[in-house]
Amino acid sequence: MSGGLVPLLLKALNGGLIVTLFAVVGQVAQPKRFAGIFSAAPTIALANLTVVVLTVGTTDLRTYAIGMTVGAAGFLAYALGCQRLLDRFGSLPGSAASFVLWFAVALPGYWLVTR
Amino acid sequence: MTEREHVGFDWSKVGDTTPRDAAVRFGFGAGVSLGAALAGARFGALAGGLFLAFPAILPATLTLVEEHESTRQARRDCRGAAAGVPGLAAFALVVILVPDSPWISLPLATAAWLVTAVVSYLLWRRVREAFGLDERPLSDRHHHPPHRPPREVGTGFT
Repeated sequence: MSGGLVPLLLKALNGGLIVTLFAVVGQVAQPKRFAGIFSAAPTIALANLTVVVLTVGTTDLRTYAIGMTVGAAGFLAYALGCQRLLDRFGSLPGSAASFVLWFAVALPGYWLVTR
Repeated sequence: MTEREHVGFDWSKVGDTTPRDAAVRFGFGAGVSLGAALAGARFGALAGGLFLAFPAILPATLTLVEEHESTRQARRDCRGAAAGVPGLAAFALVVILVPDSPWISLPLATAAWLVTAVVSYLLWRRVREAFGLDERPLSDRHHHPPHRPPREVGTGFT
């Protein structure tokens, strides 16, 4: 079952490893604007979907991916808004405050898809 | 018009990653991945799917880039991430279209992400050059003197 303790831990471990790997690729990429595309890599998707396939099969894969398209719209809002907030507040508060933008787009999008 | 930025990889910078940097990124990645897994387990696959596109690398990277380089470089990373979002959508689209063969669709989706993100970046760069769009000069105003040139890191880019 997808919510069991072992799959949860595997997803967390997988997520940590894949994010670290892509972050290193982003670190060596130049210029910084090009490196940024690696900050929008589907790391969490790869980490989670691999474990989902291994533990419960492909049944929910399509539904996960539909949800991901909505989340991607939220990601765009995050990245666009974060540029402004970085200038105003600096990276840590700015990037933290930008999560509000992700939720502001992703949650109404989720509501629309589930209607 | 500004000089065209050279796109590439400086692999010598791999050694610049400190154990702390790696730990921060691992922590962000593990945390967001666990959050996505919990959302999926509690609210179903659609809600879990939302969090597959939750920013995981970006916040950690922005913090570390600002710390090691500058706010200007962090903002550039942020702009690149925005340009890379079509790649995320391309990844999801491939999985939607080929859900029953995951060992084909997941590598294919990853390839689709990379191609789409790079093309999107190059298109955006072309638009920026064509219309003379560049960064607003107010960047780094809270962290550096206004006329200080951006710190050069690595080789071959502005």
